Amino acid sequence: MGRFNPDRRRHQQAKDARIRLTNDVMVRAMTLENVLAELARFTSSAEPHEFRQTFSKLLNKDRIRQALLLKMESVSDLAEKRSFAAPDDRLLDMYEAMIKNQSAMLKDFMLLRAAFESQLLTGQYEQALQTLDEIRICSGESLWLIRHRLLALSKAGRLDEMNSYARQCQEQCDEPLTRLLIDNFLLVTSDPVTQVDQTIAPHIAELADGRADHWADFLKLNFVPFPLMGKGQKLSCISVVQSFSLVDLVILLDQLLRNNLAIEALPAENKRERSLYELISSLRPTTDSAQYRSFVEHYETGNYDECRKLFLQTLNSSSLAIFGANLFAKAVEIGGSQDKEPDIPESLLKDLVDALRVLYALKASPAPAIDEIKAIGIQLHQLPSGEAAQLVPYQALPYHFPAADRKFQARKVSSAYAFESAYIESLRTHEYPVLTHPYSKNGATLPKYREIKQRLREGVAEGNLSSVTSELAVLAEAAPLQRDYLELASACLSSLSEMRLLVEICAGELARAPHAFTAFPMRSLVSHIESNQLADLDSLIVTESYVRNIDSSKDYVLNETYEEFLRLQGVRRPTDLNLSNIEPAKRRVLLRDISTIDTMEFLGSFDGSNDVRAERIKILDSMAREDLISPERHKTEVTDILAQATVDNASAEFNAHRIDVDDIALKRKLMDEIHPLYAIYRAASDSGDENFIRLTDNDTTARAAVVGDKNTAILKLYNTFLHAFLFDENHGLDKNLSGEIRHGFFSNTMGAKLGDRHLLIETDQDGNPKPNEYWAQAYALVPRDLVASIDSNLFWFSEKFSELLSNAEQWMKVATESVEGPRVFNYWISTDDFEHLRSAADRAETSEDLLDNFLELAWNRTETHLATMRERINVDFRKQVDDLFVQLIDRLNDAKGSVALTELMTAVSQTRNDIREDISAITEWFRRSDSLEAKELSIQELITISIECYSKVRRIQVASEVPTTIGGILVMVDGRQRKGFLAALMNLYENCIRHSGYGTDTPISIRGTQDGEGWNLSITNPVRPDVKELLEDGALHLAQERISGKSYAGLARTEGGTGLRKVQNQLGQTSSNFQLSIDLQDHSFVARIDHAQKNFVS
Amino acid sequence: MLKRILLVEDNDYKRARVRGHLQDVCPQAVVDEARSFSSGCKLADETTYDLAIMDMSLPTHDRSPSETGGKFRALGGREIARKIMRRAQATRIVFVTQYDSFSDAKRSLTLTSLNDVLRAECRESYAGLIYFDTSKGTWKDQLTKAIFGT
Repeated sequence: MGRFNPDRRRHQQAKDARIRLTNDVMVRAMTLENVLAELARFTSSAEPHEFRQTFSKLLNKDRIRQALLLKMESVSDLAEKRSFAAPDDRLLDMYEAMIKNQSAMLKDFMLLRAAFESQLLTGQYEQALQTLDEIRICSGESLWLIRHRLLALSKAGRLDEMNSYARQCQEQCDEPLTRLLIDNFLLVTSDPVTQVDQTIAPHIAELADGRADHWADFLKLNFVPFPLMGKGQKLSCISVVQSFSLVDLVILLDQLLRNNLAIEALPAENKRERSLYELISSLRPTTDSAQYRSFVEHYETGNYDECRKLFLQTLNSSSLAIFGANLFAKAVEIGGSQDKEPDIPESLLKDLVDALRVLYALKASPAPAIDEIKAIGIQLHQLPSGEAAQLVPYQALPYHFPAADRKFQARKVSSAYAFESAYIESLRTHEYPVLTHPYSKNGATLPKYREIKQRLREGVAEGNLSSVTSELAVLAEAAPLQRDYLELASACLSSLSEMRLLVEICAGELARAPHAFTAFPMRSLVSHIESNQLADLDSLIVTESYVRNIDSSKDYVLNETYEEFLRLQGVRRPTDLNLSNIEPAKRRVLLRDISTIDTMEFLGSFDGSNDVRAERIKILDSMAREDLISPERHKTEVTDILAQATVDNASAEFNAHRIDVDDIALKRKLMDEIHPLYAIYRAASDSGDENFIRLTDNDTTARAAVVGDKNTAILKLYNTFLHAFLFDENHGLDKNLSGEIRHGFFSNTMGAKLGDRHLLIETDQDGNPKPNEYWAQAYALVPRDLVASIDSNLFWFSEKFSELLSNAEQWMKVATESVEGPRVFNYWISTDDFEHLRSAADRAETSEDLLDNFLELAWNRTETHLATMRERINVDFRKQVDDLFVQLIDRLNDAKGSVALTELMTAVSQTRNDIREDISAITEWFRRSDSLEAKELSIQELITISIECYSKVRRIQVASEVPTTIGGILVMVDGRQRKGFLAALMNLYENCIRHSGYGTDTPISIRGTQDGEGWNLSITNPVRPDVKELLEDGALHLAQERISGKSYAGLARTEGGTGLRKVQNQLGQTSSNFQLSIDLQDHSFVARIDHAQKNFVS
Repeated sequence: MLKRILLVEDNDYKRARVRGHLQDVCPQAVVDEARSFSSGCKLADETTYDLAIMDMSLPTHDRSPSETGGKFRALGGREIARKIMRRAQATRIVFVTQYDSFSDAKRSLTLTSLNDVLRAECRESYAGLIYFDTSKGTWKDQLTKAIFGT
């Protein structure tokens, strides 16, 4: 018997498979499964030359083409498709043969795809759907076709049809991967950025954690436009792309190779990948770039009218349209309000242009516009223009994103299009593209500011700073768009390493135009500030903008710069600063945006929260005096601070209740982000009620994906809110759960008694138990083996106890995905929840109302989770711990036999009882700090607290009389109600101080009387004669109307509700029987709170 | 020899355990205690300590019946350490924490990555990041090593 020779065996396998596959009769007789099995055998065992020679011939057989889905007739065929496991090189050979075999069909597909792309981009959705029908006839079914039909149906508003088409496809191929992909195709038709971030990215992470890197990369390839969303990296899913039809294989392979070849660090020997990529590129239709060049020339020569016209005329050419979108948007912005709005139909292209205009105008927050462009990039991800769309943000904001990402994306775009663009070349290769790319016309025809630009380039090349600074000064006046000037200044000064000067320019601009941060290389500037420990006002302004808009994890740079800035000025508090030499715009930023409570708290020089609040109110007052902030903003913030002081006062004495989300701070933080989204929601069309896509995993509580502008907007709004509610590092729920409970407090409390009574066995570095010296000494006279047994039983107990703690800590984690697991605090959104969101949004009249409604929803859910958590701790955990003690006692009894070990057994038994008490205490942690269960207080007590609190926060002594009784009756207020009531009282005191004319010297008198079934409180303050006159001249009447909501309700709501109207709202939220009225009596202003019944009514 | 030690820790139980251990291993040292970020900052500003033992997560202000403690600073210990470093005080700094990471928040740091960050920031003053586990005694050994640099 000869020795086993694996090579010979492999050759034999290849030969056998080749013989069977090349035999027409045998192939026709085989099932498709058998054909694939033989192909797999041949692919994995044939020698390279044998494979290349034979495989392409095999592809001429219908049966083999059918098995490999070179043209997929039905989606159901996917169920039969099998992938071959082979080295990448072999797979690339196989793919090449398949592509060459079907090159004619693929060229037709690419041509039709280009037509579809153009129609989709320009809003011709019905034609686009017809083109997809033609594609189906030409190249058969594919996942690409399903994805884009869903997208086109969604854009056309044919949502029922879209849903039924998706269901139909999923029914045809009831196979998990296909179903998952179709689900995700549906998701990205609605709110792509959120879906990629919150649904698809977690799937990818799970796959990667499970070491299924190929599949993780496959999902990335399909849905994630990186580097725009995520880090650019080599994708390793060459083997996976064969899982579908040939069309899908080509689409995916095209993207994959383009990505991998654009990774600069790849070794040069990737010739195999490059040649295959070139083969695929040769299938694409050529692009006529003559019109594009002409369009660019018009722009460069300042011919903006022609530029705009040409763009509108060339809309049917998709790649040109995407490439020209940036310049077109700039041309429109340069035309300004004198031009009428460009006539672009509603379409992805229009959305793109609109988003770009926002970025160029510097007038609004860029975040929604950037998200819009990302969304377009995701939706066009498997079309050539997807690559171009993903380059758009880098073109528009060249310094906002890392330069390496921009170069990477530009490399991808360069290889996706067969036409030259000098600007893309600059984006691909240069650190500062604006300084390098040549104009298409010569200097003589350029407008003046481009000549300056040319001179600036020369100045930079020569390193001539004085020439550059003087030219920049001229350009500042001559540039048609301010952004152009700022970006050029950024490029020139960065290039010359003049970062200090750039910080100065940047700070000046930010003080005037806060959204201008996107025009500057903020990362570099803050890095320069941090490494050089700069501590001047300009550095502070730049850092504040960076932390607020780009990277909040750099808040320590802001804090430290601020502390050092004050130290250099010789003061410890901002109100001690001499600000007379600072221009008003910068002064405003310093006081309004930088000297916030958060930043000031870092100084560590305040005596508690109220001391910091008092400082902030002092700053607000000084800004109001100097007209640096509007009266509304002043009132709103002061009111919020007073409210927060109230909340803290109400909760500090109830430290047992540890759950709190700072609603007020959260709202303030979110308002900038929510407001534009809410405007989109209000403006969006309502696409009807039946727009749910119910995903297939669960019927009633399925994650909701909703399509239709309004639905998309509401989900986006809620997700934005929810993320902050849960995870905001300073104010969110997880701060309590992780910082105040899970990390330490829970295990410390639970372990304290065990430690005190020496029942825990500690382990050394290697996890081995350390001897328990206490019991060894206490029982020095008992046999050694019994002491050892005590140790081992206590060690067993310690480990089991630790496991119980660890499991319980898992319950306290927050989950936003519907994954199986122990987490109690689950916030994923079901379709039923969505109904509530819609209703919350419909009820809202302003974005603040909306946030209030969202907060109510989130708190309702949180209360449910807290109840569950209390149940788990008090019932499940308590039982588990108790059972563990029982087991320990049994074990110790077994071990000790007749020996008493009284001290030990008593320690165990006492600890068991103590821990029961601790569990009860811990149960109470899981309540809101202002919950209804908080202690009741009388009205008189609350008035005293409100005066104390107001005095501390205002740093004044309120001269007040406190009633000793409310007409002889005792009115008690519970925990939840007292917060609003305290806030209302404090706002009334603020009203007295602010409007009496006597300022902080205003005496305030409070009187309570019984009134029938109810009672009232009068808060009275004298007013100066001139104030009295004003009130009599109509101001009082106006204020009365404002309270009643007759004429100013809308105004009050849009301003967040301020002053007396706010008091009325706060009282209304506390009890429905409250009524606030105001009057002038002699020389006194009287605010009277009437309550129609004795007790509060929710 | 260690003369003055700053111990910043808001958790009574943990503070008592650490203080007890300090009494065992360096009974001669004067230990000043702070229960919050602000009080830690004030002590660090007033005195140059030989050693600072810092909890990582701290309330901004000392908690009391009328004070909730203000913002809970996830990396409050690190913030105080950076202040000490900026003032170029010759204080060795050791962190004793029960922090692992913050749930699902995107900015979360693991114990390992935090160790790297702190080592880079505190440079030669860095004496270690110790995980405090009530069920294990390893923190005591690690703290002893950190204190005496062995």
